[in-house]
Amino acid sequence: MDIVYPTIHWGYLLPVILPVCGAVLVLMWDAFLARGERSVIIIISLLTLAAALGVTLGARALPGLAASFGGMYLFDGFTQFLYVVILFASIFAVLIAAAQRELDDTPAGEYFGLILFATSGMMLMAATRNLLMIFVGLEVFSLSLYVLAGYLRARPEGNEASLKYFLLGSFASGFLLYGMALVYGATGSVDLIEIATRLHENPASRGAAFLMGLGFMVVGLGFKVAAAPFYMWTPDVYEGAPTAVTAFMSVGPKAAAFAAFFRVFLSAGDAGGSFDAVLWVMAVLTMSLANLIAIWQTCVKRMLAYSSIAHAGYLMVALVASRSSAELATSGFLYYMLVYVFMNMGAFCVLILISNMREDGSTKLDNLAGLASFRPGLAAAMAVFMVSLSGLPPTGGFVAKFHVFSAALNGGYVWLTVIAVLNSVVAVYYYLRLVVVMYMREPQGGEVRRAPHPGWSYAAAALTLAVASTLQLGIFPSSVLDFAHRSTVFFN
Amino acid sequence: MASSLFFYFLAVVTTVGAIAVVAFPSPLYSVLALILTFLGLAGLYLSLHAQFVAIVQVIIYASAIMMLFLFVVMLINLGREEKRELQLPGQKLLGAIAGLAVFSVLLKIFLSTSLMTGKKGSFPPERVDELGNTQVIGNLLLTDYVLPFQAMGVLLFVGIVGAVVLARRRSR
Repeated sequence: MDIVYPTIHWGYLLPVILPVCGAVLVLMWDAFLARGERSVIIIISLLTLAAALGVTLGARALPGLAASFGGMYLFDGFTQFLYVVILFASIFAVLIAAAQRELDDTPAGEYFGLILFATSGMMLMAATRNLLMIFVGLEVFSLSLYVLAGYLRARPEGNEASLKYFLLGSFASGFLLYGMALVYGATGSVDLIEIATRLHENPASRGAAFLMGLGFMVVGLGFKVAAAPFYMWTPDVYEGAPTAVTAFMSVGPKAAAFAAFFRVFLSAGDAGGSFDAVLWVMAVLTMSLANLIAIWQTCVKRMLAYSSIAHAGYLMVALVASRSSAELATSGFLYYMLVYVFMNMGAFCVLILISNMREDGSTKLDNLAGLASFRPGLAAAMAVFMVSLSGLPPTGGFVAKFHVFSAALNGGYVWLTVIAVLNSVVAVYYYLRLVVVMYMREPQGGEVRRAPHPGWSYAAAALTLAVASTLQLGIFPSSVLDFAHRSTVFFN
Repeated sequence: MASSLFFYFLAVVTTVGAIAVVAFPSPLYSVLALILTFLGLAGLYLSLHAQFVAIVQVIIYASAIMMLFLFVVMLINLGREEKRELQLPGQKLLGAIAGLAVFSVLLKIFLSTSLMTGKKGSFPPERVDELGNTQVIGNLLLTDYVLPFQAMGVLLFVGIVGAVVLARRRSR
């Protein structure tokens, strides 16, 4: 039998190959290093990620259909933009992990290796129109994150987080896979374009089996993006995991899983119509529950966990809106995702620096009291992130929310927009409360004046990048917005 | 007729095995029941003319992986499942109702819709028999499916690294 090789555009695959090679290199190199020697590992990780980012930005996106591996790998504008998001998230994850005191005594090679593996998994999941690849990519990054969540094994909370995430995550993966099997059974294909054509040509394939499959996939992906009612694991896992991992978990998997969400629902077209209401309800529940619970949190890390659920809710709004105004909603989603990387990673970076100052490494809200008086720079950076997370001008958070909500209005979802705006107002309370605590309250003491952590320069770089980008995306959004608009054309 | 009898026999074996995995209180019996399920699945693959997959299923799943499972269960000496307090009142009843609801919906779907309403794939059983099972799979893995194949390699590697990380730490 003749062997027909698929078309492969190697250059476009490079952004995924680089992190994998970097991970292997880091793992090997670590074996020859003295204990506690981390800087080489960190530099290698950063260099590979930066190289991947450079290749991504330098490449010209291929039109939607010119895919490698028969559609299993797709480097279109959507992919390109999400690669930028994911790579920035992992660059931040490396930078802030380098500055976290709790991680000092842990093996570095495996930590940064797993971060790089997770990055490649997320990228594979975002860059495909094939259900099979969506699943494989999801498993690659999930498996890495299960381990990373329990990386501090001495802490019981860390073990709890890891086990909870692993058990519930595997359960959710099972739902996703079963859903894919049903969709395959109904349409006879795992390629989203193929599925779309068959749904179009053959109305019989839109039957109950297809809808049930789509429903199971919503459960599986909803778990990964932490949307209600599948968000129960989030606060405990986010709180128990090392803070640098929490930061990565709150951004990377969201980008990858939402990419799959968008691709699946945009290709399902009318056939997914019965899910409009389901997604609408999920968006409303996610936003409202998360914001209401976040108000009561006294631990900043847990508050940021609920905040990340709330942001998943706003992104769900974009997903719902994409059902009727695809282009606006998709570009809104992309822009939101990018802004979210900078503001959320920045907030977690400040949190790490604050917990570094204390013996017990706790992240209570009270610990931030009077931060402005003894760490004015840190407090100012945190204030910028909080303003941006709550969606006020002149920050990127405002522009992002504005675009997502106007896409929802444009799509005719008036009530959804109203609820989303009300939720943003509620969120202002707990974000700005943190600013008030930092600036208006007296310092409580209890900080240990320790010598600065050797990784402080990484944290400083991360903070500078995060603050600058958050402000830049808020004040001069047009060039990135253009990029987002150009990135919306994927298939159809 | 014979083939459908074969199918029903294997289907019953597989399902009973799967139920037994959950129902047995002792993990050791659960693992043994899982082997039964995997053997049943191997038989089903065989009846679909997928000899290679069936053999791999027996060698890798039913033997190698389940052997490891048995080792682990015996090494850490898991006793019988402990009776835990339920989180919600009537949790068992609620679970049973939810499970039955999903089951009945799925049953209705499978009875009412004909699956695979699209066109057939490019490798129907007759063609596979003509070309040879192993050859077709090998060819597909290294051409059409080479990307997922390689990505699975990364996945396995991540699994190994993760296991080392979780197991090693205490001694360091």
